[in-house]
Amino acid sequence: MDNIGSILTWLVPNGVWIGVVVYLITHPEVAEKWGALLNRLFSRISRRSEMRSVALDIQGRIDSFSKSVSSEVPGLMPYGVKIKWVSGEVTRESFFKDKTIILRMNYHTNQDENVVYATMEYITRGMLSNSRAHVDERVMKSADLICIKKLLEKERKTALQFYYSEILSPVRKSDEELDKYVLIMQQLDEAGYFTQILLRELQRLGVTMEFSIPDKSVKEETGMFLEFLDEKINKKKPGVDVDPTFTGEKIKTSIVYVARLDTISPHLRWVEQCINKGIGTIYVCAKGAYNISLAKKLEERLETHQKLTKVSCNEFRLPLWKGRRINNICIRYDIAEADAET
Amino acid sequence: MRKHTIRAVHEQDLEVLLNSLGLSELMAKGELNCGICGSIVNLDNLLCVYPLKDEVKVCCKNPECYKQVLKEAESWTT
Repeated sequence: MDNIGSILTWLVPNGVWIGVVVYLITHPEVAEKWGALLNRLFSRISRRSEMRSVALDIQGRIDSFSKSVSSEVPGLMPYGVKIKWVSGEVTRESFFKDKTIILRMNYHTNQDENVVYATMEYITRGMLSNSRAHVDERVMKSADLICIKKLLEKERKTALQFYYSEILSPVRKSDEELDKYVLIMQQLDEAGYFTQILLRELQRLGVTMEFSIPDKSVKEETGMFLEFLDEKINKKKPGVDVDPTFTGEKIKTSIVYVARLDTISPHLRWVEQCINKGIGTIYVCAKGAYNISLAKKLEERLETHQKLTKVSCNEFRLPLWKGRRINNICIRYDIAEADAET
Repeated sequence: MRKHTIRAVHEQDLEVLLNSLGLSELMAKGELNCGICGSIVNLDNLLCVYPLKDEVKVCCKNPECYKQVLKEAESWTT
């Protein structure tokens, strides 16, 4: 044993080992993925390893996704996931007492299916949990479907085929209106507005409405907000002026799109107008290096504005054309007075 | 990070669970139906087990049925 230890120390210095251990402690989702791989080696001979392999793989993938989303939109997916195995110890009494779904998992050779169904449960119950009751049912369902797709794209590409053919397509075919919303959200996602603006606003709605009874008009408003993002923001043609402000009863948002101007003065004036109109949130968005530099100038000027609180600033890359990607920025400000009103 | 718990049964333990919940016989007779669409559920197409009032219900692999169960579960405490 001493020899193996000294060989390992010779091959990999102690500092590297300490680094690896620290990394795995601070990134448990990575440790889970490695744990799944190691357990898979013994899954044919050990029942326990087979189950660990299935559970750790799912936990690692979902936790990794929720961590990356939380870094973009804090609080959107506040939970990680834990698979708890049950079998013969469940009695009818304990089943009714626990009141929970028991999901069937297949052998790891069918892991794509396991990941898809576990992800469906996780997203449906773990994302926007405070907002769901206040959001239009189809809007919420479409947001779930797009989020599941995003998770699989990032964490388990091989499961996408199963997801498309067995889940997404049948659901879309069964409901024309839902299909329309899914397509809109897909386009919003490609433009960077899905997570950065739509989900953020739905999350904010959950905070505003936390102790309120679900209201039909508020639900309808979420559908109108989605259509606003699609028609006024995403499908806006260059050179055509549109009002980038949504003034609902609960959602009051304006999107300042920085583009094609050499000066930030019109944007500053627009921000002031929004403040005077009682808008709750402003998003400053820009695409491409030049526009981003202007957006940052605007950010500098707004830094000391007493009525604005900068909530987040995200820079990200999105596909542009023929595999090329373009830098984007989205800065969110909350307006103090409007917060007090809502 | 807080964790959302997903309770799961591995397919190798499925029969044991169904037995504990008193569903094995119904399944053997072909009388176990999906709580949502009513189709006959067997070991191949069973996706989940869930409580509804004082009944143990099962759900088939139809995604619409599963989504319906998940929607129902939204009202339960997590």
